[in-house]
Amino acid sequence: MRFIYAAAVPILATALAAWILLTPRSWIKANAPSRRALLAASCLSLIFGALTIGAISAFEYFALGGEVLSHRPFLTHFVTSLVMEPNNNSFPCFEVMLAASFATLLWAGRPRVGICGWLLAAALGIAHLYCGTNFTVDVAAGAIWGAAIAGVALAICGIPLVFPVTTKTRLRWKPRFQGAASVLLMVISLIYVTGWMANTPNHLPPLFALLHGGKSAQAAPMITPKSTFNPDTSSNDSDQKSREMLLLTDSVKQDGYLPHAQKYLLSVLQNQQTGMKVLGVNVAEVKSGTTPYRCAAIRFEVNGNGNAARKRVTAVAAHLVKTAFHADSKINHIDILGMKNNLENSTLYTEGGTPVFTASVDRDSLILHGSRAWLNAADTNPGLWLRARSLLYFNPQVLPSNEVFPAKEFLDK
Amino acid sequence: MNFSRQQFNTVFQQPATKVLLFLILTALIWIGYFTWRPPQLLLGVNHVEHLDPQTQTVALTFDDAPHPLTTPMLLAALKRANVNATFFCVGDNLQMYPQLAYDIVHQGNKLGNHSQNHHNLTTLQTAQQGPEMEQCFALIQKLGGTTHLFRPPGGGLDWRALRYMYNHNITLAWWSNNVGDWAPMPAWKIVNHFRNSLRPGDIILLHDAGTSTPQAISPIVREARERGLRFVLMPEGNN
Repeated sequence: MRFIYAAAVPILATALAAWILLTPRSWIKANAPSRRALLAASCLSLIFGALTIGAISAFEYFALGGEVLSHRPFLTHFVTSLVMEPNNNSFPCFEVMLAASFATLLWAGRPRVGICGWLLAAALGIAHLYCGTNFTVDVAAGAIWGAAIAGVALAICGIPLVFPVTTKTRLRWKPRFQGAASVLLMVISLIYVTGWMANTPNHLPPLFALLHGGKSAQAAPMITPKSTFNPDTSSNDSDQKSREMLLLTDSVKQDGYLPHAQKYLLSVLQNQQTGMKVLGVNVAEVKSGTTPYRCAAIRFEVNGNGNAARKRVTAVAAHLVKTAFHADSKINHIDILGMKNNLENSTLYTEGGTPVFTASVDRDSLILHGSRAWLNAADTNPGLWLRARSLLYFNPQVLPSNEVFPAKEFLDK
Repeated sequence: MNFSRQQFNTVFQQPATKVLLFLILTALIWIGYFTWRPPQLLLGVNHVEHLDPQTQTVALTFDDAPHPLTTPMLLAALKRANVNATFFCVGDNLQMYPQLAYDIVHQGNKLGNHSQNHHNLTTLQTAQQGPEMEQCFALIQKLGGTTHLFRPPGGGLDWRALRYMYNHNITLAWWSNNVGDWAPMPAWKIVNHFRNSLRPGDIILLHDAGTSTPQAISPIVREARERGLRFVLMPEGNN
């Protein structure tokens, strides 16, 4: 399986090259296409394949902001990976696409050779499923698309496809439509398919999702809380509730959160700025080694999109950290997480928003100008998860101009 | 240089020329394809994505450790539940909170590598990717841990990173069950997720920065033990 996985596509390509260059005349039937036409069709279908890969890469880069169209199964499901692929796009499977197009071209040369080629392509598809690197949808779509681009290439070159239905009956299909029209059709369908996938929340056509047994492929599958919120259905509802109560009491008694400090800090922070919402504040007395200290975790989100919102998140973070240190003099450390509340086509974050800024700030080591000013730089890619768990570096361009921000001020107060 | 059609045919219709062309084309095909998808990386990179389901074990792993607020809480929760976990540490945090890292190791937990700055590897230049992994390995070694496990931040992985891992014998540490607690998420939701989806051999991915994750530990452990599962540290793979 692993050998087929690694080598099926070049084997098929070599077979095609051998058919075009090396076959003796006696093997080629009288009504078979000329080898020059077959060569042209192979070049065309290679170009179409490269265009497909390029189009999907470009779509990911420009429209999805660097996110992939569909995640690999080993990121989202319990699978055994027999090979290791990079975490790139899974839909469609490009290798099966190439294999299918080569097999179809071989079919145009001689149907029986083509059947062998298609068997190898099918084995490659099964290898992709067996090795756990693609979904069934990806392999099926790759095979269909590969056959389609080879079919269009054959149509442009005027080569018919012959299907041996029985040993005596042959079905001869000569594409009627002209080359330019078929290219146009292909481009339109490509645009349609990519647009369709982009509009589908999990980037997989819902029809094909049935092949996964009704399960949708999400990067971070989250369980909807419907069953636990429904008050009048299940018999073990009280059991569920008691468990939840146990969790809540756990949080107060065992984990050492300080509800009053949390409430106070939240009340101070939540009306600080407009266009911003504090999602949660946690304060706790914790111990590192033998040193006890009070630590706060603040989470907030900011409305907006792009680099402007990104800068604003940083500015709001700086403001909130300053205010929190002022509000509670016992707090030694603050962990802050800023998010944009739009999803920005992200497939990784299915809920909550896109985290854009994280920092851990010690009261003693607040830093004004950091070497890593790029953290707040405008040219960083806003679609990607850029996250630095480090000291908060306040960019002077981001901070409001009238703010003075020395660390000593906090130590005094 | 003007070739007539006849001259062209006498050269290019020769069997020897065709064989030569075929050999050149074949070499191009194989070299090109294996440059695009290097087979030694596909087949040779060490990786762990789940444990053996037959052994009835699960592994708890925490990303983005250590964290000033939640790591002490997690350690307390783990101690109460009497389990050990694997903490995938960010090198920056290790430098900032060495005491917390010491606490993690001291309690019998294991450290793994979660890069130096928690940058998505696919966004970095090739020259930056190596140090991003190596610096954190060096820090872990300084703290007394030995590991080959590396978990890429955000799951970002490309051919360059795979090549580096192959050349430096680094094991890719994936997960098999992920609840997504990097975003604010109530504890009962986390627990519910694992109650619905936990299976033998799972490598559970949780995050150290999640403020309700510590509360979710003991219910998860209880649930797993009710199903007869044992908790183990994440294995090193086939190094």
